[in-house]
Amino acid sequence: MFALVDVDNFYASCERLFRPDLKNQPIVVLSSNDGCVVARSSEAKLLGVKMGVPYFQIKKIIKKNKINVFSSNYDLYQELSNRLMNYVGQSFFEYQVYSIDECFIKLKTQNQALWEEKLIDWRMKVKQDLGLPVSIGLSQTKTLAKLAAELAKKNQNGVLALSGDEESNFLLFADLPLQEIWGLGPASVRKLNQAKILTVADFLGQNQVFIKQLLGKGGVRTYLELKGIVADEDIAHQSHSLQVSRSFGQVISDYNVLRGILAQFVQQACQKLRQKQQVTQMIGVHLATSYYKEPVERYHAYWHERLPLPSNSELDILPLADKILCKIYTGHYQFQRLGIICQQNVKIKELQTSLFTNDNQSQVKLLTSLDKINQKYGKNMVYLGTTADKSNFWQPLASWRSPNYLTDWLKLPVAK
Amino acid sequence: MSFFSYSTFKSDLSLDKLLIKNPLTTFFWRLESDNFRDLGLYVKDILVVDKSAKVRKNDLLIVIREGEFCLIKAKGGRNEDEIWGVVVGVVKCLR
Repeated sequence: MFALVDVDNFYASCERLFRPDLKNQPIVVLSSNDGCVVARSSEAKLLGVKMGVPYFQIKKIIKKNKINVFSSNYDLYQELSNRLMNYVGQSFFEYQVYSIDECFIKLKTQNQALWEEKLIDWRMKVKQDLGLPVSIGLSQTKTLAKLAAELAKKNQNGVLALSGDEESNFLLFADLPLQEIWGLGPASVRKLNQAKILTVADFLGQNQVFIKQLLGKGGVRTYLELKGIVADEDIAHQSHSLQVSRSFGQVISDYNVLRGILAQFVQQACQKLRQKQQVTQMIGVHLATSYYKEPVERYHAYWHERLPLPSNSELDILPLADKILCKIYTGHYQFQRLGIICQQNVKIKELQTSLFTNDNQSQVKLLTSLDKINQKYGKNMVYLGTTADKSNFWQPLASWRSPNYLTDWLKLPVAK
Repeated sequence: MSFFSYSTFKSDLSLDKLLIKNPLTTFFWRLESDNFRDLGLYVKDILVVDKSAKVRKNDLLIVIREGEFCLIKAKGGRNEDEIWGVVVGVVKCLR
């Protein structure tokens, strides 16, 4: 049985942690350089603000409705995400980070009703202990759990269990458009639509062989999972995240041995990224002992950090992975599992248009060239010098960034 | 000649372990109020606040009232306020 924990409107929820005045207020968070909307609170969604829309296009709506604008504060989001993932790890035996605000949990016993009850209580604890509102989906497969989490957002108690029973599930999501299903990307949806398959009900009504012909192995995986059959143990095939992880044949305690293995994982991950013509933006490392140990001997830790620049090069990724391993490693344990996860991966082509959504063409060209030179010759080979009068012309805009409450001693929240 | 470089020496006595029982749910705040001098708390003190701690009588609490944070002392019996966290420690840097 799988559960998916998904933070509601993650960036907006992070901004609310130290702003109780924004509890039910509309919030939008802007991308790097204050380009476009990357997150909205429910209230902002209701006001018609769409995801990805450029800031200048919604200036009027913002002013009219007094929408609170924030520039993305990745230090804050990263820290809260790390805390959440480790909190999940503390509460459950087997967990798998999926993205900055989503995490799968593998549950051993099959008593769904009992887990549903436990998760309702657990969810309230998360809200108190971390200040983050989460929605939780519970089902036989990861694909169903992810769908359930999405549907759970409309539930009063924030938790939804989908039984493995196809017939009762049918009622809940038969009419859902195919885009909503995890595992069906735009290309797959297009192919399905061309074959007159428009809804999830249509999709599940098809023959498995036909799905294989039309969409390949990936499509069959999703098809089976929606029917309650586990076909996706390791989420290796998702488009925006990539994992390399292993359970060791024998326990390892030595830091240098772990470093060596991690370096191999980094190489594999980078090769896969290049194969997919992608770059990654965020690196996470997970280290754990066996789950089946006395509490005193059990250890798990996870940490992720953003790369300074998106990359698929070992030269960039290995130092960061190393740094994270150093942060989470501690002696005295017999480790069984090590893994690296590359998150927020984007196609190289898409990167250049999505990062720069303002009009400054010369800025775009300059930074693109920098990337190319640094990629070829190594990190920081070329960097921008500062001169007295033009020191910050190239810095991305961040007019509304909240204080680094959790990472800067000088910016702590204040109690009056 | 020094045998220990600053970066690798770690005392067995860790301030982190002393003050922070649950790192995941612990946050630092800065005190800007004069109202708690009788408790030995002064402006610029760093408060160690644990969102997961159970409230005890006379605890110092950060609560939310009408969309604002307030620092109050817990009364016995039930607390009607929405509790953000419990102040479990204070750090004073004198230099």
